[in-house]
Amino acid sequence: MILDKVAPKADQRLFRDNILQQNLALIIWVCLWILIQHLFNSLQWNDVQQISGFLAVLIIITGLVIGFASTWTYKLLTSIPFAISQLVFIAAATALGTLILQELKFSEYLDLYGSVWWGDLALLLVKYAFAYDLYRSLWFLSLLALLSASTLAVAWKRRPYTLPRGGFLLVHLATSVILLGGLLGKYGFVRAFNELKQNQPVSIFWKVKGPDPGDWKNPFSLPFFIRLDQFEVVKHDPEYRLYAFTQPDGRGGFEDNPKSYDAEAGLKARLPLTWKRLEILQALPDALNRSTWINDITAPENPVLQVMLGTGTSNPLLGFLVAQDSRTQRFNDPQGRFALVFSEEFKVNDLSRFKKSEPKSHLVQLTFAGKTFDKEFKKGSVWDFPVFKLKMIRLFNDFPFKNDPNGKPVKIETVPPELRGNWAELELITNDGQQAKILLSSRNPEFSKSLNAANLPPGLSLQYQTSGEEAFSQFVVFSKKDMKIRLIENAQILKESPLLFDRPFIFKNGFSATPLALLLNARVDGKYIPNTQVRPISERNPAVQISLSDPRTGKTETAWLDGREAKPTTFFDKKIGFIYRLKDQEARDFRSKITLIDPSGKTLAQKEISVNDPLVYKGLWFYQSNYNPEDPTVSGIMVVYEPGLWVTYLGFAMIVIGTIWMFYLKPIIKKRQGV
Amino acid sequence: MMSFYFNFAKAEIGFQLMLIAYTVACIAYALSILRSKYESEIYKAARLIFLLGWCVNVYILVSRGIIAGRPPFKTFYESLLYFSFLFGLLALSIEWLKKIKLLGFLSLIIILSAELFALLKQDIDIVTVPPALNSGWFLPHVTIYFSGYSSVTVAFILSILALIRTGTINLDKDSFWARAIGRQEVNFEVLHRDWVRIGYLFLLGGLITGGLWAKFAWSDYWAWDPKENWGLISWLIYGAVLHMHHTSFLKSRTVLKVSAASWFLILFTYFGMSYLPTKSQSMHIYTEPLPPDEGKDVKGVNREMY
Repeated sequence: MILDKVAPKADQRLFRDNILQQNLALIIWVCLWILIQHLFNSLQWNDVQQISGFLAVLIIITGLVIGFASTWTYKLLTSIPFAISQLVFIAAATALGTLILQELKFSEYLDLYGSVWWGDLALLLVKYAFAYDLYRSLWFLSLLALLSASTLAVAWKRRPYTLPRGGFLLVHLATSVILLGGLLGKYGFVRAFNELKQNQPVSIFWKVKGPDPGDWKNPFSLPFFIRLDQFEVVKHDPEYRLYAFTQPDGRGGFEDNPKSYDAEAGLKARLPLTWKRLEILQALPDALNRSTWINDITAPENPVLQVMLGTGTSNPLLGFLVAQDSRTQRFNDPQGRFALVFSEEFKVNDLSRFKKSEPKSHLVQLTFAGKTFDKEFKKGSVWDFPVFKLKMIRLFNDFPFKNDPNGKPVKIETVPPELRGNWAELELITNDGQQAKILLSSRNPEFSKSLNAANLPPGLSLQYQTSGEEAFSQFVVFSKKDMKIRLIENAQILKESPLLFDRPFIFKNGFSATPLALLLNARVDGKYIPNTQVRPISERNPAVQISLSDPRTGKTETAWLDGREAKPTTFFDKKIGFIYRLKDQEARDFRSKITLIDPSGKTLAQKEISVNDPLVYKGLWFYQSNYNPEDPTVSGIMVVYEPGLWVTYLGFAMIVIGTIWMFYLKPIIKKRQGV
Repeated sequence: MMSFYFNFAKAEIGFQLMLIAYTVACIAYALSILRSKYESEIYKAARLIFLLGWCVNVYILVSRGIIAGRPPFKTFYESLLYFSFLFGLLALSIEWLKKIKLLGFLSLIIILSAELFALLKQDIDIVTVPPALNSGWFLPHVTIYFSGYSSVTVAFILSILALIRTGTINLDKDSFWARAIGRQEVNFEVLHRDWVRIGYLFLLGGLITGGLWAKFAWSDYWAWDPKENWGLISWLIYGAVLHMHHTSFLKSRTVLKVSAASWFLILFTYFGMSYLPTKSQSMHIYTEPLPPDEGKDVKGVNREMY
């Protein structure tokens, strides 16, 4: 084999003699540093102290090596097989860090690895070999230091350097330059964060992640002020598309990967996997819904009752109640006084449903920095977040305050209905030990938001949601089978009369419900008209009218699709479904216009920063980092100071230029030199 | 099998054409290697159809790029199309110059595997990019990285060819190997080493452009993100392979085997990230939505805020 012939014989001997020794040396090296880190930890040294200690021990080892084992070490460090072993070791260690989750608490590791077959090994590595923060552990850094020493030794060994070999020198020096850049970055590195409010200059940021975990929440003062002039979330233009589903899953749903189409009037296409043809008849960018229920004897049975509700004013309300749909089978009075219900059949057993009842589930919903989390309310339980905890204290089934703000006792009957209903009490405990009482109303989230505003950190919002309860006590129940109307209050029938059309059923002073029509095979007769008024993009309601035809049977079905309807509209006996919806709603960019001002008010720098475009001023990088979806005048800005950056970049340039030089320029230079 | 068929039926017409062209070209290459009858005619047809499929591949990418208004490699589907475009370009060029039919055939097998995988992935729709990807670095970083992936894939095929070809071949005799290498002597080992070098350089370029971009977008040029780590791991191992060429402690066949095995690290770097336990700690998984409770800013604005 050709490559065997080119390779020097010396390496062969060294490796064959010492292959075990070389790898053993690497393992001992790693173990030594694990022990050293245990020692440093027992001295309770922080990150910066540990790195300094690491460098000090390295210097001592280098001194010892030069004094006692220089030849052996030099041979080892410059051996190609040893270089290969080192590269494999570093690669394996790096891979290990991608298998074990980084920087968790030990209890979280127990949860994660307690029950898997390789869990014991993972826990051992976490506990004894610092695998929880592998890339900052001294043994990993020691492998990098050794690589640096090896490359420097090799660079020294290959002297004298001629032009063709310049690439080799650059590549091998680059490793140490890049690592030196990283090392410099360890000292004095700062990453700090603050939420800037529009036109309120600040000079203090909060360190969120520095060399020392103890730096969390420590202030970082800038020698100048930074002001947010304007913050803007740039959105993509909304694009609605038509999604065709042609594979019913047999459980009433469809496949996950529908075929999508541009919703343009006039589009004609054959649907995949069927013979059916699609045509888009109309596409309205903003439409008004004029759909109504009609009776269609060809449609499946679906009883719908049209009812007129008299409320004592000159404007009666007109509506449809759909017996088969739990959401639209009832009409709830917005003021909580009564509900109208249309059911196919009324049974005596159903009576117990028609009374006020407590919620079956209590949910606390937390929104923080654009993310939402849910948790079932459990008295006494604690919800843990990195910078605060939430303790669930208790639930109230009605207005929780005994006294008003003036200290006078509150009469529960006089409390407005929107403040009654269920309430939950929580306690917010921040990492610095501050506690605050939080009260949440399930019926009126806006009220509890203003109530807790002073106690909640910016960007955090909490909601309390209940489900399974019955909030009403009085019901007007229409039943189709026996054609009766009943007035039920707290599971007691107060009044019963036949369901007669156009005859008002008076159930309360000034209130009447009049059945107007019963549609037995009701279906929605979709109708949309273009909206002639110009509305903001976010308020527009696009709609398309499509027709689907089967050329084999000649049958055609036509329907309107509403851009806000999330469920598929089905065709041809639920074999085909269509959804017309927004493609995606991701923000395109976040932009903050910021100004740096010196204490005398002079502008030092100004820029509109965005996610990929920070402001760099005297080594400080200002990033668009976060935003508060609920407050458009606030923008999260991060500042980073990294001293060794340009050294690392120099290393990057060296390694790229060196590699090109070594692989491609060297032969050309040699040829020119006539070697 | 059925889902391949269903997704094929739903794919865009260009994709269907491209897949058919690549399949036909692959069969034609196989025929021209296996049979001596009409060998040169079938071979010419194979090359032309390969080229035709590749042109359709370019057309799909360009048209998607124009519609989306961004480089066409946001979704897995698009990235696989982009890979088959870059790798197809390399494979076709080498095949055209060196007339190694077996390389053409194996390249098409890899391209077809990538396309079939793209069919299995259900992200054919053109979507918008999150703000972190909305950058001038997107195109060079991905192009350089994918050139690296493509080059080491060429090296992988060459290592396999070098490993399975043993003994000398009588080029004048009509045999499988004589047909497979186009009746001219090729030194697969040297060619393999050249392509490992090219791949190594591009992988390095990918790591560095990624670092420069990350400094602008995420504030760190290196953050030990799982994808970055696997990029580093595969680069280090190819670095080890290059060093192995300069020692004789390993036989050259062993080096070829190690090199061939290293390609699976590249495969893992490309496809394996979502199988890692640390995937929730990665900022590089753009192709599937993150679960809401895994504490990441889904918008990719910043990596470690809270």
